[in-house]
Amino acid sequence: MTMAQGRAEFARRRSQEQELLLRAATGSGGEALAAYKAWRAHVDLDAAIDHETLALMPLLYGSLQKLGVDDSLSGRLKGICRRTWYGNQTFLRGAREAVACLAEAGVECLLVGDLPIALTCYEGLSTRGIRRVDAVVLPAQAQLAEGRLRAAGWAAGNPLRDEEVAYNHVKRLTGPAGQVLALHWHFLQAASSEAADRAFWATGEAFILDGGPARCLSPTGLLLHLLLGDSHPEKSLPGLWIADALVIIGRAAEQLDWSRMIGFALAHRLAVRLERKLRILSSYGAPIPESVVRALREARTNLPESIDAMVLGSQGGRRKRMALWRFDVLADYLRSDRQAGLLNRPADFSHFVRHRWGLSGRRQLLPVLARHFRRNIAPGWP
Amino acid sequence: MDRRFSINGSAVASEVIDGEAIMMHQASGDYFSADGVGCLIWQWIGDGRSRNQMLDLLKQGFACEPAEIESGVDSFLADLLSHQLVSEVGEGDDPRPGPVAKTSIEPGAAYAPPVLSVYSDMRDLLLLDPIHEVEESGWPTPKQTGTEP
Repeated sequence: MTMAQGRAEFARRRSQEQELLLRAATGSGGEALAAYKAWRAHVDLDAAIDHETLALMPLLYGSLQKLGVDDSLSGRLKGICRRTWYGNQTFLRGAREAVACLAEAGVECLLVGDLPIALTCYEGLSTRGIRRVDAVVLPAQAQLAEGRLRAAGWAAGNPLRDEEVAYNHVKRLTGPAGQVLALHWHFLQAASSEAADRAFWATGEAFILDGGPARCLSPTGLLLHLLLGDSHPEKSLPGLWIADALVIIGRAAEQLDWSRMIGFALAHRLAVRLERKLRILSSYGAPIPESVVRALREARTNLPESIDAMVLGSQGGRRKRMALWRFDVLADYLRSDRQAGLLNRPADFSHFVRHRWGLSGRRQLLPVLARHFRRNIAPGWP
Repeated sequence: MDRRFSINGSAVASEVIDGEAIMMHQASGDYFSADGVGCLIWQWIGDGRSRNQMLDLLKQGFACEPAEIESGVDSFLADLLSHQLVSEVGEGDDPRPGPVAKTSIEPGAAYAPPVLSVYSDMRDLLLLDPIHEVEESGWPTPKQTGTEP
């Protein structure tokens, strides 16, 4: 077996294990039990456990409890629940202080991602680990928010510049106890526009964060953001978003406004992405109305969605997907609010790309593209 | 004279996972756990039950010497107080009402005195691999090394 074949075999085996674990953790009855038994037969628990598997284990524990399974792994699964709970408690304190700090400065803030999902969708705080705080503020308040958080002890590197606010959408800060806070000024990387943001702000609702007031998205907004928020599947924990989405749908099925989701996806040219995610959820038994998937599938094609369709539909394995994902930045650019005139557009796009790719200057673009071409597109190229 | 307690809600976070109460003191970061009778007492305190009410429930539920139950409960309450997880409230004070908990004693269950497990070295415990570096009972109990022959 060559090294490439070995890697492919490892990836196939890992993806099979994750699939079984996900079905055991989120399914019910005999199907979940069969998936658990198959997962136990496959998985090597003496080997290192990846982050995604660990993240799903508390959910697996809950599922096994319902199934009445008590085996040699149960104690350690319960231990992971305890650890998840403890970690979340320490996280909540930092998050509450950050939200209070922003509120004192008059910054309007809405929490998305892990934290509201863990707090409002799961029972208790031992089932879903919070990896970071995702706070969205208005672009006009992004620098004020960053300055206040910096003053409160959150490390953020250089102060947020106008150019970053114009071309980027998020900045990562680290709290005094090591917590990570992602300060966003747009809700979606894939559609960083005022109109898309407005649609999310409109679904904001109050919730209690560690005894203090805070705001998060409604179940519809939360699900939409979860499905469209992380546009890079190689970076996210695929099993975790599926588990989160299934929990949101299971808990708030009556409150979900599917027509609003369709309207948003069509208006912001995200129908291809949303349809793909919903199809995946359907394969896990989520009650997605067929009319929703059909409406998204029948949406007229446009350039950003054609790029999405090409990227998401690629069958060439991880390498090819990675190669294509580098270029989805064009689709994101077209969906953004950039108002550059025709002549200025190439320069504006190059700024957009350099910020999106985290480069220190546009001069790095060509070397990065050349390296990317050599590694991912034409490995044999000299 | 009866005694009544309340959970220090502003300083203590807690949750019950499958018959085990886990608590964290927000200021110290210390972690605590109690299962069995200890978990029942924690939930009863949350419900606002007095010491005597708790003793009555335990005496009805377990076939063992009342004195043994009393000493176990008093010792456990003293531990909770010393770690500032609960406060004693006066007879006239209404403790903060807690959620109604599922706190029934299983028929035929054997009595084991309540124990509060205390974990203070959280920095080290959080670094443990929760699969490979813990006992079969799971985190936060580190795997004992050097005990095998």
